[in-house]
Amino acid sequence: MNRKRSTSRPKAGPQTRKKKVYPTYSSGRYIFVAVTISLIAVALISRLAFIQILEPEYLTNEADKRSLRVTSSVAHRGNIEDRNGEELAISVPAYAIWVDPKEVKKHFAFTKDEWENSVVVNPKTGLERHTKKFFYESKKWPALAEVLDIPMAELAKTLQKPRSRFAYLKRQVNDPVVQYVKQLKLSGIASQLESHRFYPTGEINANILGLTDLDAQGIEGIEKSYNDYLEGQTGKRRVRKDRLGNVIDDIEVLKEKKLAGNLQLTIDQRIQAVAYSELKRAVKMNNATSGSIVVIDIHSGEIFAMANYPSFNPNDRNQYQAYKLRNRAITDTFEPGSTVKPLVVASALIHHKTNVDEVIDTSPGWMNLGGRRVRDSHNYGKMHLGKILKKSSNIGVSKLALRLKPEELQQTFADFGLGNDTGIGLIGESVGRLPIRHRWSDFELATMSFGYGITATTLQLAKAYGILGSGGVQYPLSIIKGAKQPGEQVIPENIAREVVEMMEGVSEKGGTAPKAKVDGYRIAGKTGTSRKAEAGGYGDDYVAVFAGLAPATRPRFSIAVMINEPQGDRYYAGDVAAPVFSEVMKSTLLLTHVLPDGGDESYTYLEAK
Amino acid sequence: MVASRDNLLLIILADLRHNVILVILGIMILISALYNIYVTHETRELVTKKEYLSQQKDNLMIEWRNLLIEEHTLDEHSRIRSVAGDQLSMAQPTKKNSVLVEIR
Repeated sequence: MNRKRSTSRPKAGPQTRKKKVYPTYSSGRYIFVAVTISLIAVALISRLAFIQILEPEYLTNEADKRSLRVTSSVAHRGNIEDRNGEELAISVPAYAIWVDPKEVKKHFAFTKDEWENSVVVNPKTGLERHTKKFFYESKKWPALAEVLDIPMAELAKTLQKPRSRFAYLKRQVNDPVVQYVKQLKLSGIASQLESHRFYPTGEINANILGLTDLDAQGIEGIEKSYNDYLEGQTGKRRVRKDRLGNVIDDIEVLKEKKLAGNLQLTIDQRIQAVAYSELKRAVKMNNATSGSIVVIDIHSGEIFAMANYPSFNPNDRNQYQAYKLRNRAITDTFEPGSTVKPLVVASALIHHKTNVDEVIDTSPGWMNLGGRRVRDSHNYGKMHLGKILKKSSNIGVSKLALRLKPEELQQTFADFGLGNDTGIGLIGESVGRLPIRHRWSDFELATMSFGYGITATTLQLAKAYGILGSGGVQYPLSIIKGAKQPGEQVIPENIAREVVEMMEGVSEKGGTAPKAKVDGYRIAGKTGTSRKAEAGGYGDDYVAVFAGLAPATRPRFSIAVMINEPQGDRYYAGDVAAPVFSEVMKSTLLLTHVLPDGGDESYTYLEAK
Repeated sequence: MVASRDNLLLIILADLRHNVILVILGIMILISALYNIYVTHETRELVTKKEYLSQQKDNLMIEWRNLLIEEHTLDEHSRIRSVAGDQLSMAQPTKKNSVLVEIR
């Protein structure tokens, strides 16, 4: 270059010196270049203005289509825990496998004809090629059917549905299955995140916890009663994603994520497990149709256990049958029979119709009231109040009841919570029946005093005994752990204490329920064996009930056991329900470290440091 | 003088020297623009990282829930009772073989 320049300069030099310092100026060329360049500039600027100012939406849209995504973050349904924080119901993510049949039909032929029609010839090579695969030759579909556990014929039927764009193949599938299905790489098959509810304790709590449906909505029990609280809200956000799918920008929150609340119950799972297994054993041993048991902490109204049989495993929906699902302890009422006798004694004491030391003559073991007969099983002769309860004398309590006005007895029953809701707040609770009317025949009043003509649930019975045990204070029952509610004195304290003392005889020798005894503790309780009413009178089926308190000196727990329709020779509550009470009460007292009051324990003392 | 008047580069430089403030402002705009790009990039990386971490948190949560189920299936009370009773020959102490200890 340099050489060239130096050689050309001498030539050009003289020329320019001769004419002008600058090269010739052509105004035509200058104008042409100037106009061309400015035209290009105007074109570019106007295009820019068009894109940026006049119509920016189009490109913005196109960009957004490629980068804006809505992501959702799933809020799982809250857990349910027992009083010690052990989970009783847990939600885990599960997947629904669904199919777009149209998409499948695009890639697979279901008939030979269709398959042959799908042949296209490659114009270059002249080779024939099927655009669709023959459905029944593919090995992937049988693999899918197998892993999802659906019959091949049914799968084929679903896929061939005309005009269908969506069908669930299987719901509540776990992650490994989804990964397997994804690896099959079948077109038209996709998965969708949902939630699976799992109950680690199975049938033990099935009746009280209830169930959720496939869309994670509570449909029974606590799951239904507290659905709004347990349910979370899935959050949705609009985000910008880059080419690799990484989120690079948070744009906006479309739906606030609401975390689900965890629910803590007052149930103690250790006691609940014992209660359920003992109840189940008793129901099976006595060929009974059903049974319920409730354990209540007297001084707070908290339910420590509430079990029913029959139950079912909520993790296996094939077992689902409505009758197994019922929480019988709160829904099923029965005539409480002799278990109301202590309440009658309490009523007579409240209205000063008797005193603690009174002796009542029950001989000759029967009495006629308005042409109907009330009888005891034996002629017990003269008895004091405690012995009347110990022997469960119908005559004894009838005589007490007849001294009372019907309204007075009814008021006492109502004070003990019969015919009223217990405050537990669960769906399906029954309040039982406490008929209110003004005219009562003597016989009706007498039968009411030994528990006929009124109905109650197992829970109400446990609550009534709880009121006796707490010195006449009634606490609203609760199954959800929360602040302790204030109690209300409904029965005079001294009367409640006296009746509890009288009930201690029941488990002693000669009482109706020696099998209710708990080693090391004194208990107070009462049996009840009532005939079941059926159309036209009372039939041959019985309800065996035992309700009781322990320890008798300082009552802490109230337990009511109900066994419905025990079959066989021994249908008396003392043989059927009392052993369940004894076992469950023993475990309850041991697990909650209640000091024995039996009086003959081996004691040792340890000096605290 | 003629040669220097001929040199375009020098002319441009001379012109720039007259408008030195504009030049500095221009350069500052350029730096600010580049820094803006850098910060945006940095932000995006952080957002991605946060997203990844929250995803990881979700996954751990799911794993935890599954482990919880496993734990509670294994420590179910009736199972423990039957294992203790049948396999380990354990029994609940009775009044005869237990001593009450009171700490004073």
